[in-house]
Amino acid sequence: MKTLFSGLRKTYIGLILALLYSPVVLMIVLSFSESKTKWTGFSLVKYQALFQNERVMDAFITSILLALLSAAVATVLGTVACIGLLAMKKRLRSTVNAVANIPLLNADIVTGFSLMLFFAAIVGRMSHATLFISHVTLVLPYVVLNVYPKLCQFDRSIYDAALDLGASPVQAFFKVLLPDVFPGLLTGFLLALTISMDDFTITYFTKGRGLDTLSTYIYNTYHIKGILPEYYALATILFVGVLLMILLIQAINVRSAARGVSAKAQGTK
Amino acid sequence: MTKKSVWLSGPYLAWIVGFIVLPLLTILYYGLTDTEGGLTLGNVIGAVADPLNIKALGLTLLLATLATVICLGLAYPLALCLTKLKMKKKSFFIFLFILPMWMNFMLQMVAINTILEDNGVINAVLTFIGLPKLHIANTFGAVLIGMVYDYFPFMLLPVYNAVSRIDGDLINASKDLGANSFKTFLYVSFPLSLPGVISGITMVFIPAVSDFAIAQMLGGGKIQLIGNIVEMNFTKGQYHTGSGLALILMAFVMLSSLLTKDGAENEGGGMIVS
Amino acid sequence: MKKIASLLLALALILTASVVLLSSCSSGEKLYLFNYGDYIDPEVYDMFEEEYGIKVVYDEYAAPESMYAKFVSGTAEYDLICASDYMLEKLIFEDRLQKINFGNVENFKNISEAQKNASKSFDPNGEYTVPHFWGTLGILYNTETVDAEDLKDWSILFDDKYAGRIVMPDSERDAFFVALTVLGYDVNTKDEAQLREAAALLKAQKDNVQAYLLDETARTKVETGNADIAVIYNGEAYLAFENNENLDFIIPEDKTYMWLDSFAIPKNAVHSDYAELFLNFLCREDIAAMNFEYIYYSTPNQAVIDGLDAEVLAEEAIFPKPEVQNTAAVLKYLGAETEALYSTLWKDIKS
Repeated sequence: MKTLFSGLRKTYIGLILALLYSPVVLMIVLSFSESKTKWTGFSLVKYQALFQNERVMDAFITSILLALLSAAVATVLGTVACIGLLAMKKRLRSTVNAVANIPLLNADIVTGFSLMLFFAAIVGRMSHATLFISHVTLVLPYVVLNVYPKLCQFDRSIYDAALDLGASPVQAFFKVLLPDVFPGLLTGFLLALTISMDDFTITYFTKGRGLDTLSTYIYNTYHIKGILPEYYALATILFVGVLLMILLIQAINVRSAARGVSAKAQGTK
Repeated sequence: MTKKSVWLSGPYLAWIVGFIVLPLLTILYYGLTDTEGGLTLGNVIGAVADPLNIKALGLTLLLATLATVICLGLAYPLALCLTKLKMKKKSFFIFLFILPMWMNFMLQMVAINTILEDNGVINAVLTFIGLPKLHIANTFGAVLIGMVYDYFPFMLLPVYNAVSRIDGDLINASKDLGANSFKTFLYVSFPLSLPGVISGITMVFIPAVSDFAIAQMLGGGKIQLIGNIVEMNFTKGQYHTGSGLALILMAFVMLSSLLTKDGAENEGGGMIVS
Repeated sequence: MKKIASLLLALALILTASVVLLSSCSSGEKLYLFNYGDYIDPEVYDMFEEEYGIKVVYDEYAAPESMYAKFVSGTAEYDLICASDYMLEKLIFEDRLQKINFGNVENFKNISEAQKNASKSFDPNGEYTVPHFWGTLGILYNTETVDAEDLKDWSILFDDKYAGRIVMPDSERDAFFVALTVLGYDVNTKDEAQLREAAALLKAQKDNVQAYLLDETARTKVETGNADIAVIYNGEAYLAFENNENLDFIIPEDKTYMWLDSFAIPKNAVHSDYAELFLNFLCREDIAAMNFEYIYYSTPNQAVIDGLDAEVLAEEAIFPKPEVQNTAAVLKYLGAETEALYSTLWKDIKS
């Protein structure tokens, strides 16, 4: 009976995995085929087409740069803010949090539309800057939500001890506080990165002329040209890239966790 | 770390006011004025009074509810199965379930479309085993499948987090006290997992209610959701009408997130394997 | 603590600065173009940049109405736009275009007299526009699954015979053109009752429609066998033939309209000089020939036409036969009121 249940469970897990991965596998398999819809033997034409399509590559690079920059700025802004929030009166803090989390809860289309209307009223037209600001706004709550709890857990006496032992505030920050909140910071940064990379709606509303991210480019061309062969290759590269990144982060995470423990041990000594 | 460090949140507060509060006030202004700038409730009332919008709203709510229910129906048993699973590197295994999400969202839609087409993979398989073709591409069903696929991880993670945190001793206690598995589930496990379930519902329902891209990509221009109408207003430059409708949409979203506030607290944090 | 804060703030500033830098480092001479999708051979842009050092930055759109809104909203300013006849008529009527200095567009002489004349329907004095491509609307179909006899009449689209196998254009004017033609009304009618009747027809047809698509997406559906019939522009049909030999193009009863897409320079263009330079470049024989071979719509460039083989000239999917040309309608700008009606009716059809 027990093995039957366990077998059923494994079948169910397998089934869901199969469903989740069928589009991915399809894209990867077809990326090495010449035909759009069938397997016609191994070929790299789609990859060739991808690297020759300047617009897709531009959009790809835009997506990555935008995600990196907005995640970085949001992480810095959010982390600094968290220190401030910690010192804030509880009531004020919960008000601030409630407002700050609006982009997280609100419909993307309303956020995007409101930002567009606001920028149109203030500066007239959309540009790189409006897109960048919108993305930082979008990802900021994710950073705060990940950093703030870690900061709350941080034992202040360790920081004070560091100061008593002659460390400057800057030293104390980097040697004591940062290693401790680093996992939260990293999670926040990565989450910000993926949210920005994957965003379509906000970008659609706030991007300037002649600028596309991967999402808006695909959306646009899908209506004009349908599915380009390049997309299969692109999907494969993206998927494999993300997979590699995750493995790398797993490794870093394990190491930094170990370092965090040792730093804490040193602090209490 | 002292009271003085409050001012460190200054830039953040400025950002919030500048890029969250002010834009929302802008959309409120547009929603409550006409093209001449006169104050009016016409946009908001018009948004609700237009039978086409009501129809679109009905379709949207139906689609979003179905997507949420299906996601929950698939994710909850999966979460239970996963908790029971004994293996090394389990967190990485869980991660496999959200990995497809990281392939660009638009590319996912493209792939799903390729699968569902009349001459697509599903129909090739059906024809091969001698069954009649299914016409799913460019229908309500296609949009539903797209939504379920896209939002599934958002349901799975909070539900799994909640289910896996349930204290095994409580389950054992319930069984020791004579409850059968079903009763234990109904009175012990399920209530304990409820925060995760509610969080999952919010995270699927809200994006589903406001979607326009999935409907546009997979509906063949035949499925008109509330989001599509707002987008249409946007592309046609009807900012005032669009804002009125957007305000209604926002009211819906805010209402549903208020109703599920407790569950939504751990949102965001639960999205990455920790 | 203050030091830390200032350090972090500095970091934030550096990052912000790098963004600003990033957005401006790619500055240089640029021409901003707003065009229909895939309407110019991408290589032409490279050649233009090579010859004149001006980079063409372009956005693409599918439906004219969305182009208009984006253009008018002012959220993006362009130096050059490409649009269809009735849309240009509207832009001229609303005084949103500037006159082209044809002294800078020497190669305009290559444009055929026929298309210069056709332009007069929306640009009466020939001051604002330079033709790019022209064509007609017809039906692309699969000869294996569709009986050509059925396509003698536009009304087959509203019949149940090919239910679920039909692709209709995702463009208001094109869809209404079909319905109005079937009903026997003027395609430029402003009569509300007639338009409502046409809308009712289109709405009833919706269940039989596989999808509402434009251009290449519509053609691909038929090429890949996911649909059998698509209402489509002639040039698109010709491109479809290359990918699937079982396809043909027909203009039912020879009833169609002729569209003419042209370039124009908006009033708020920053670089009208670059725009004129680019227009002159586009009208140059070799460049026009490149574009023609890229898209295979009917070219208005006489110099290119003169150099074509008789075989290509005889291809009806590219150059409509004289009977069609002589009787084809032209879509006119209908005024704000009728446009609003179109918009409402279209929304109704699609929801």
